[in-house]
Amino acid sequence: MNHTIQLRMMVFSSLMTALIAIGGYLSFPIPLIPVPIVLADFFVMLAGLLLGAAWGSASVGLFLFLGALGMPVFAGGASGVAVFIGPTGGFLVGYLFCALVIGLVSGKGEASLSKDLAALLLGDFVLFGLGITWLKIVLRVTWNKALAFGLLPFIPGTAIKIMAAVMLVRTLRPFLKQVIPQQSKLSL
Amino acid sequence: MAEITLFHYIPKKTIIHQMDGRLKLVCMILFTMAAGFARNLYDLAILTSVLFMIYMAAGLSVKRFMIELKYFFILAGIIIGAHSFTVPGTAIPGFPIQRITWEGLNSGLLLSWRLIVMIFIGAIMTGTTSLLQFKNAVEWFLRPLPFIPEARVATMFSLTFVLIPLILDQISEMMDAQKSRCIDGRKDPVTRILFLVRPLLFHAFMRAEEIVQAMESRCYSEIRTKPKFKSTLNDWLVLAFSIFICFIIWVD
Repeated sequence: MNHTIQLRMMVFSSLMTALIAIGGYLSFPIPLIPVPIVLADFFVMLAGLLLGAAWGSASVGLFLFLGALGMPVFAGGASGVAVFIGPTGGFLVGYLFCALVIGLVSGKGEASLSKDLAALLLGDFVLFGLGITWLKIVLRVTWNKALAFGLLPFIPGTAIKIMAAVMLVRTLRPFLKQVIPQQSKLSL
Repeated sequence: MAEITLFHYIPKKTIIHQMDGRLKLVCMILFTMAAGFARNLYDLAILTSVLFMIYMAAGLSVKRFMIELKYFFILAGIIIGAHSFTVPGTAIPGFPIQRITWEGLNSGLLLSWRLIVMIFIGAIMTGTTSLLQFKNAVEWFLRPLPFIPEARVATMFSLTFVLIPLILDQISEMMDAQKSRCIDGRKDPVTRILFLVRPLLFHAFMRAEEIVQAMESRCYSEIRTKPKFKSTLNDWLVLAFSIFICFIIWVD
């Protein structure tokens, strides 16, 4: 493959990794709802949408690697291998599959609004599916309780993020298309 | 946010600074694991005092740590408060506020203390290791693993470190610009996210494109001279000491 394209994708996916790490510290309040929006998973979605399956999941993988080494990049400044075994570990591993699924679904053929939306919904389904299952196993609670902790407070925020991501991608894609040729999306 | 210099390298000539990057990386992983698996406050107290010794030995400033982490300490206070009131258990006798429980206070302290210890470990590592040394150590450990392009991962690893302060600068600049235009008064979260992220991503990708050009014009290649490492007896002693401390915490 062209050396320049590969170098460019490398830098871009490092950029997405940096954004995911910073996104954990960027929070927006939602009116009337106690849980604020945190942008880490928003950038995970964007990584999948903008960089495609291979490079998108590579940038999430790098983020997880940084955290596992001990850099305080996970939510609230946590780090280390122990976080993966903790209650939120499923969500972290879920990020990886979320970016992968979003990249796979949205990257097939010509990009369209409905395809992006389907990709994001499916990606979030995978993310919460893994996250909540793991939460249930670790905390040994009933499904109802796991859903109440892991899903219900995040529904409004996730809906807002999906909306924002779809709108954002429509303006960013033409910009990125100038620098990323299409074929580089799928091969690492 | 951009003023946070806690995770910047501070060149000095101490035992910790001159330690072999590979062994230091192992120490960091061990310590974060110990912090993550610590189950009671005594463990964290041991860990904190050991890390404090290392921090002092590395000649890093305690004052700076306190000042730059003041928001984390406020956050820790909120976590402790929330846990004290919500976790059921026995009330603290003789305490003026009735609803605070021992169990809640304990779990709140454990959670927030652990986070601060983890940040402390990150600060020691990044404060005493130059990015190049850090990157080389990561690359060395990835080399024996199959299917992982170690040079590429290591380069991406160091690029991420370079990009984080650039993005933080960008964000604080943009937030100021938006405050002066009263955008933070908007209630609609979709608009607020778009107003922040759209210019951020445009600038960040342009910045990344500049980095690509810079790397390319300097003939970046993944085939490089392998870095030389040398470890002294001191380094191994520090590693043995770290293993000993982590062992105490795991057994406990």
